[in-house]
Amino acid sequence: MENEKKMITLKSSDDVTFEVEEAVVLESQFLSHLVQDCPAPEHKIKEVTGKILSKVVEYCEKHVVVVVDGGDSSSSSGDDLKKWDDKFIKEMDLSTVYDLIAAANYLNIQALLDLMCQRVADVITACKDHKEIRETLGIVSDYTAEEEAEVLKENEWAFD
Amino acid sequence: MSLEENQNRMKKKKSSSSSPESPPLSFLSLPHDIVFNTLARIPRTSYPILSLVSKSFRSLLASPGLEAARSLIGRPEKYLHVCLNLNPNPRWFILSQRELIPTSSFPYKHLNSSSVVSTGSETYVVGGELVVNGREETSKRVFLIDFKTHQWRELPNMRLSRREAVVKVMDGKIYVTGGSSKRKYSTKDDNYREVYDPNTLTWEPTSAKTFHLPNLKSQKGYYSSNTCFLDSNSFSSTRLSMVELEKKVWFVIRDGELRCGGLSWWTTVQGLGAILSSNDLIYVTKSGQDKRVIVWWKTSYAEECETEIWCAQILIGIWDQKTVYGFIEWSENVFTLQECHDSNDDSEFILHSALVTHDY
Repeated sequence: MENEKKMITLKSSDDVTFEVEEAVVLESQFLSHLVQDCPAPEHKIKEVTGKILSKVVEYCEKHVVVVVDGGDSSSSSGDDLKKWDDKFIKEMDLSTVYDLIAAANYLNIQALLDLMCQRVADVITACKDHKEIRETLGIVSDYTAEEEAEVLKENEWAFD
Repeated sequence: MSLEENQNRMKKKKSSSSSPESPPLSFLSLPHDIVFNTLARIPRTSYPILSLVSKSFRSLLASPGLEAARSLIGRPEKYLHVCLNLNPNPRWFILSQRELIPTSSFPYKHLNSSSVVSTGSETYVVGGELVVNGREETSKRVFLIDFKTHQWRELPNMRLSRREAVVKVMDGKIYVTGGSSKRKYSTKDDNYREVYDPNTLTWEPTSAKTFHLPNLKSQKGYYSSNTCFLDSNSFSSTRLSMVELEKKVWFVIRDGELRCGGLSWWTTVQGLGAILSSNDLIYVTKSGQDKRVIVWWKTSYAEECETEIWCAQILIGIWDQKTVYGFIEWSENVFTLQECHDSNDDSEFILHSALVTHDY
């Protein structure tokens, strides 16, 4: 009577394995195609490290819509999910965020990708000036002093 | 499955190799669509700062890819914009999350007594007057700001010069009437009304029948978009901010209070004691939400030389022509000016307001 949940093992580039329900894998468009096309019990994902894959799995497990027997949806409600997302990205350093962006892009998990882009956007928005943005993003300015003064002048209104 | 379980599983299976040797990712090395997805989530008002980061940042901000990404993510909303009469020049602000965010400053000479109207993401500033050699001169000039780009530009002149004209948008065109010297032009003269077509960039005379001045029969006076000028005895020629909340129901600020009226009735809005006990209201605007207005006041601290600008959103309930209630939904200090602004006449502190639709 009870449906045996189909489990799938994901293996990271550094051979960390994660056993997850099939429904979790389906959050990723890339993996759902992979699982359909090649029904092996274990899939190696060469492009993603164990550290990052654990985050991806954590995210997908939270966001998966689990339909239990009887048809009740036990997925988290929108507000709870939003709170969870906020906690998930809070304090996450940018290099982890970039790795997660690359992983979400590769695995084609749009919601995770959007969440990570939002995180970077929030970090940039919180910077008080362009120097802090350069520092935060590790960008070296290629403006000459004159050019920078000119751009500053064009946008004077924003800097009073 | 929880995080700890995941971590336990990771511990059980010792990883044999460390992370692969690839250079750490940086923001600009991410694929372009992801960079755009990120930049599109940053408020446009931060773009000037972003453009100073580097040349590549600046060209990304000017790229059509960014607008495309914004249109995928952005849900354009109605924002209330207000123009504050600051020193030395007035300045437009966006009310967002109960805060006033400054927008691009007006790059032309400021005109008094202009009229303002908004359609979509654009705001038009029409006519006004300018002091030239000590004489006040009415103007034909028209300016436009598009909040997709935050850029001001000048439009072709109107046929007539006007101050405090009545401006309306119909079918995407800008209709203007009034505000011109009546000695020269009769109100029946077709020239008295004109219409601007943004597609042809021209002003033409119009006799559009659907276009008429709002008229409160019980009071003499005239009306200009968000403002009315009453010159009957009881109101003695005062400039009042005015909002038409629903058809033929107007709200004005009078003697520091919020009043509501129709064609032949006026009454004070009750229930605002929490605000009015220590403040005089100076302005009323639409809120962008049904059945609600926003009232404005300011508090000056002479010692610190600071001026706080406050507003409150009021839900309106009209029982009958004698009983109008306001329910304060929120009230907040939305901006603090680092200057003394202790004038006795605050009626001109907020010059204009407009609801503008844009993303953020």
